[in-house]
Amino acid sequence: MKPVSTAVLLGTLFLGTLAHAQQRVVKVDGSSTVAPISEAMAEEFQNANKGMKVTVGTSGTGGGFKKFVRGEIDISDASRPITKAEMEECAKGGIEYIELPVAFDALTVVINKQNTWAASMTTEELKKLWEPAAQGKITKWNQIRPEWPDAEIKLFGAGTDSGTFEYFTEAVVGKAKSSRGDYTASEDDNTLVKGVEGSKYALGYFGMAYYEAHKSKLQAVKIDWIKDGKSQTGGAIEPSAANVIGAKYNPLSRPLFIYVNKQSAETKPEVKAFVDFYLKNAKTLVSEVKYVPLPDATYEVVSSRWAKLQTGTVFGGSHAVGISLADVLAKESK
Amino acid sequence: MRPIDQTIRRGIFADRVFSIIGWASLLFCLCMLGLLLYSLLSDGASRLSWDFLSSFPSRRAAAAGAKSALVGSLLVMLITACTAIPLGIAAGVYLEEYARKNWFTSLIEVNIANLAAVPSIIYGLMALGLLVYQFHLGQSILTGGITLAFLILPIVIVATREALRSIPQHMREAAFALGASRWQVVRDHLLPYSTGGISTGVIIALSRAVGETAPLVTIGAISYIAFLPPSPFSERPWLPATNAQRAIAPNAQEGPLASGLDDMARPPHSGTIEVRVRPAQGANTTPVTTTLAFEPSMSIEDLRAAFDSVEGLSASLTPSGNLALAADAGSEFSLANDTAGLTRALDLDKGGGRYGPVEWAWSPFTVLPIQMFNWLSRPDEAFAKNAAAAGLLLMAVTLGMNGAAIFVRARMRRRIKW
Repeated sequence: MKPVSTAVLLGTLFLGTLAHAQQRVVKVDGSSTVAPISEAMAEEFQNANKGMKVTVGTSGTGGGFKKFVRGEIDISDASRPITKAEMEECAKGGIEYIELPVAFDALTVVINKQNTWAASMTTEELKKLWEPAAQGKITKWNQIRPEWPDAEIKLFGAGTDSGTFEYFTEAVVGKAKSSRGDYTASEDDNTLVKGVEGSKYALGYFGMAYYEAHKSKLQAVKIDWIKDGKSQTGGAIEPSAANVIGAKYNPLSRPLFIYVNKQSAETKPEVKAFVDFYLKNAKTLVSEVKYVPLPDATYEVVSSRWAKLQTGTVFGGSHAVGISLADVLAKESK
Repeated sequence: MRPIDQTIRRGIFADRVFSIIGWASLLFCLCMLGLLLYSLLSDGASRLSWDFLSSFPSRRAAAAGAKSALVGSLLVMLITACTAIPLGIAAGVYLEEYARKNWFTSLIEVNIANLAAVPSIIYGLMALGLLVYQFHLGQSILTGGITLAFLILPIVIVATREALRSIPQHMREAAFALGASRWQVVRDHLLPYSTGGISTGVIIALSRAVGETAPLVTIGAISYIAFLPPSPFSERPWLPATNAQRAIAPNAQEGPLASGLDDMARPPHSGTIEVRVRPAQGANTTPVTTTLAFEPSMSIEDLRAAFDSVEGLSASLTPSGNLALAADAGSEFSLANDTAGLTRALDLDKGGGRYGPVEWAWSPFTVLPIQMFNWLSRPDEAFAKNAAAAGLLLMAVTLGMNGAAIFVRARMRRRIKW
């Protein structure tokens, strides 16, 4: 009898003493691609400033913006620029935002170590392989290039909820979320690594960070960006940090962003301090979590946008495929 | 007719066959459990140490720990238990002992059984709409705990009813015959006799809850958190030197703020606030206290002027309509003893004082399974070891709860004599 009555008593006591609590926390949410950067920043920021509190969620870029427009979070992690619809929602909710690119992410197309033929591919070939029309039809390597083996391709790719999937389809097929469906899809990139590692005739794609972590087991495909029948990159480009920074590895590299709520930036000193810290330490921490930092000059432009609390987006609601971030930002800051 | 010895031999044979099947089933279950434990141990045992329990998550796999996730899981479970156990047992007792048997109670019965089969994410969606947006409980431990309590309530209710039903009817009749009221029968006989069965159901329910992620992710549990909820009665930090406060009514957050701001930002009634200023980290120094008087007739500009008049504090209005308070550099401040109701009305941070006994329940949180997923999705394989170690922790928590149930059951059985 006793434990039961104690539990009842505790329950009533508990419900009876509800009091609203105020906590000074910097709330970050959004893309799981950007999360490792924000988490590293949060870790170091909290080490350097005792008493400061930061939380990082991973609701996805879209999920993060949903919370952002409701004013629930201070900073939204995004693996793509804000969309037109999200801009309208922000305007409706009276939310002003500061758009800050913080790093590059690159997608890598990978093949098995024993694959001797497909060391480089064009974006047209990738499109032929991945577009929805390829489903059930393009199943063998020699259908892409006649001299390649007459063997079945095993395809591995990102799950349809991920930003990686959205970005790859946008960059390769030309339309976001438009892809063939008959491939092994997984949100867990380690599954994809294992799949490609295990089959000689496999091909897959995922974030460059995963490729870097499993370099010894996989081979990366050099990408030649063909647009309007012409090579935009002047030959096949290897996915490497240098090529990403130099804006050569296109269209499979993209900028990653944080969007800061202007109201939070003005009214919460801890948010301002955190973003200051973020931009100051971006270069070192971004490469430590295996992403590619922006060039120094670009960080300077970004920092000055932040210092001026300059609101709005420079992308006008469209995807940032194959464009030079430095160019866009430079145009804006004039 | 078959000779008797043949019948007996057949019976013995059937007995043997069944015991072998039963034994093999048991062995199969144990093997699966053993395999699971072995794979977790072989990956995670090397990471299990005091450091793992007492460190926050980190980008370096070897330095990362599960402190915030472990504390989060335990606190969420505490709220879940405090909510679901009394509610579930009370509802079960009512349905079994008090409610009249008619079509309405049958309808409720069927629906409770059905609720137990609803996918957990549905509970998360309901909690997001009801607890987070309707009741403004925030994306907090409290919301998480209540959400999981909803999830396991049907299991607790059903377990309670089954336990009560297994008590022979003559126990009730004997008690009634001696003149006991219904409540006396429930309190002195039925509940003690059924504690074993109820606690088994409760523990199974809690073990399910502790492994849940979907509803918690839906209500906004986060994946990276490196601080603990405030302990009861611990000292609340003072406000830092620069501090911009929101000077808008809490319910005015939805629309654009520009218009009507002046009307909303008025003190609700007359009273005073003590503004205290002291050197930063000067917990032992005596703060300088200034008492400000407020009247409902004061406008936002009057409020600003009042705060600005305090020695060592300056107040200004930001373009977006916020009241910015700043102590002189190197000092911090707090707003205490607010009898004007201003801090509550304007949702201002107060700083200073002590945390209330249950204020931890409003903290953001993460739980062990979410932390496991976070680690599993990292490119670096070293994080997989951390995930396995967190899995072992989770198993240890479940084992602890099961141990408690076995203990309670054994104790109760010893006390019952009929």
